Amino acid sequence: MSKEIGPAFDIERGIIDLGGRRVVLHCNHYNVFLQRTIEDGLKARAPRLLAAAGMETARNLLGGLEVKAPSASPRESLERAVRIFAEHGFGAIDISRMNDQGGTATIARSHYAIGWRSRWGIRQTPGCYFPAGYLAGAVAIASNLAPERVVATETACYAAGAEQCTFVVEVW
Amino acid sequence: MGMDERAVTEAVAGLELRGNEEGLIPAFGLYLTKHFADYYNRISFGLVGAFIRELPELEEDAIALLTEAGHVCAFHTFGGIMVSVEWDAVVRPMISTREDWAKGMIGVVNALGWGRYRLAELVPNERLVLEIAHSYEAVGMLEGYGKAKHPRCFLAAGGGAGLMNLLYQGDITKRPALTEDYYHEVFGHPRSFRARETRCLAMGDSHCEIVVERQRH
Repeated sequence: MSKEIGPAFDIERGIIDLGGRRVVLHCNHYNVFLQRTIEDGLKARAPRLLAAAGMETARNLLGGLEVKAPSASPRESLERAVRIFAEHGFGAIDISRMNDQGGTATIARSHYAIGWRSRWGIRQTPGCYFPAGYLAGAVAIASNLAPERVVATETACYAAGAEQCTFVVEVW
Repeated sequence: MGMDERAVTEAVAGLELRGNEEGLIPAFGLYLTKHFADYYNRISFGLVGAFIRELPELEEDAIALLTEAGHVCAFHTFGGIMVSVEWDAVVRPMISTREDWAKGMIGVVNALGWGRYRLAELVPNERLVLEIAHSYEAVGMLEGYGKAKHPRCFLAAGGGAGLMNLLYQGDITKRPALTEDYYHEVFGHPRSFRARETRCLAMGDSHCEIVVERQRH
């Protein structure tokens, strides 16, 4: 198993570092309000930006961790990604139907979905763009794939009325 | 007893804030995330960049929207923290004036990973000046996009205004319910506080500086 690297707090600089990337604490209200701001501002192009940002964030973070503490296998890399996601408050991802080449993942209580629904009620379309992008980035890092080869699509979302959030991750 | 900002920072940093069995972090009456600066910067600067390229006359509107997100953040996050049992336990014993509430909150902010905030000036009910080192927005701008022509710390500006509004436009010391109605009452008031960033690391300044004053009409 790879060496565990946790966030490090530098009180003099007010910085939390995880694998060379900045960690910043924010709440559900800010997260969903900012997402809505992006969606209102960019309309149809917003999903692409939001998911791509999630993917790049995951690739930068997880790629850095793989350099510092390599995983023993693609599966272990994916499991680390899921563990970090949950520890950081985004929800618990079930990857039992996924492998390093994709598959289906679910989140019973997604931070973004419950945040959205508690603030604005049910939305018309799935809204977990960050989790979708993060999952795609996690698979890309685990399998050492170019980012354009991995696509994650949220097919059902708690924020849009589903019981849980479901993501299909495809590699081509 | 005076406000010991560093003790507050150390206390908040020492809290076990990590996902529970559901992968969520319920704290201060909120759901927190230990999110990633890269994500916020990509989506915020992505929005502003799109406006600059395609609708440059609306750049200020895009910035106003992102700053409004900062107001919402301050209202719920700062407000939620200031009415929490954790605040009562750690910060409240050091409070003797309303200004101590602001100092205590700066101590909290310095544990959030946003950079190092310093309360440079606080004129009660009138003016706040914050100096920020290592602002995650400014650092992210420089890292991902290069030197900026204009300030880029939208969250920090909205947060600074929000802190003053919670203390002097509303009254967080009376533990109001943080409802949408209360938000609009406080932040929608024509004399409520607004912020401008007068220095920004992203523009080549040594640090970021946020000046908060009441709107003039």
